[in-house]
Amino acid sequence: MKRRYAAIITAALPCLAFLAVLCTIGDGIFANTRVPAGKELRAALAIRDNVTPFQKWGTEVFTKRYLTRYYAGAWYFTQSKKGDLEKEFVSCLDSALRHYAQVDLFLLAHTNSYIKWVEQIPEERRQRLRLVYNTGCHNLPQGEAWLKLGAKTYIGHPGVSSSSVFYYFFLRTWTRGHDAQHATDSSNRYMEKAFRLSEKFLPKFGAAETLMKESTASITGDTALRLEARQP
Amino acid sequence: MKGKWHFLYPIFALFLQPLPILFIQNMGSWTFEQPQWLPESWVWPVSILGLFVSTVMSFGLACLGTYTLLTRSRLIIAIIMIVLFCIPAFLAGAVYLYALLVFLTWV
Repeated sequence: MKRRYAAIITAALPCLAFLAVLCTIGDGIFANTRVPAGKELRAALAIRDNVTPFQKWGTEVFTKRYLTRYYAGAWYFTQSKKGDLEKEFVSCLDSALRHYAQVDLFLLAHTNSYIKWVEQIPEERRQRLRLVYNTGCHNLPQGEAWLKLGAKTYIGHPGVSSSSVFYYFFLRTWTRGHDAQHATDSSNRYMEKAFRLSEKFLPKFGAAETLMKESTASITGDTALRLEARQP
Repeated sequence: MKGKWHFLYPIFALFLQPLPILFIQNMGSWTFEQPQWLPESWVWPVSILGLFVSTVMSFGLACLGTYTLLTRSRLIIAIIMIVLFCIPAFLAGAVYLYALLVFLTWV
């Protein structure tokens, strides 16, 4: 084959492979990755429970950069046993609530009751809590309690959820400035697409319909909330 | 083997793929298990570096393999080897590249 044609085919194949990956496992490319206004006003804390080392690695490598890029204050905790880091987490959250106008929480843990930790913080500071996203199974009913505590928006999952799939899409959409409703709806849609794909190729993970029933995230509170922070 | 060395690129492109997978699987153990020999603050930069090397290795070897096969082998042999060895390596490289871009928050 002539060298010119060989070069064209060689250049085209990696591009086609990347396109194939984007169309099957990705949620597209966000052309606009600018940081929404008010970064200096907002902070975020994330906590990962004691899971396998691989899961801890994946969650941290994915989450940390998004938080540090889109929030002026960002803290990430990884528990090494059930219930540890309570003192450190509460103290860090208290400090974030003192210094930032809006604080978001990402509770990346199986069925959990971090809400009891947050209750220890004085009420007037808790009013600065904004988004609480909880991956925990069966933790959707905590929504009202979080709103009473001071959060403006709570997002959770109803059953034995595969919430890590949702979280991947949600963090990417939320940090790009979409409102909570849009971020939740589009992440639910992408999650369903991923479940349908896994149903076809990895049926041992279960039927897409059942997975969606257990995992579809819902919002309690302000659905129009977005990352962009405004001076209170 | 003299004059046939270009067959090695696609073979290496595919058979080196366990290395990135092993790296990804072990990053967690190196960081979060005892004895811990990678500090937690290093996990992000080391992972990014690992994914970058994996992307370059996969795409580089697969591109070299494709080009040399197309220019030096009979077309039918080239097509068979590209499908069997280079395309899986391209797909793996694309997954590493996508992960890299996502972790860097660039896309």
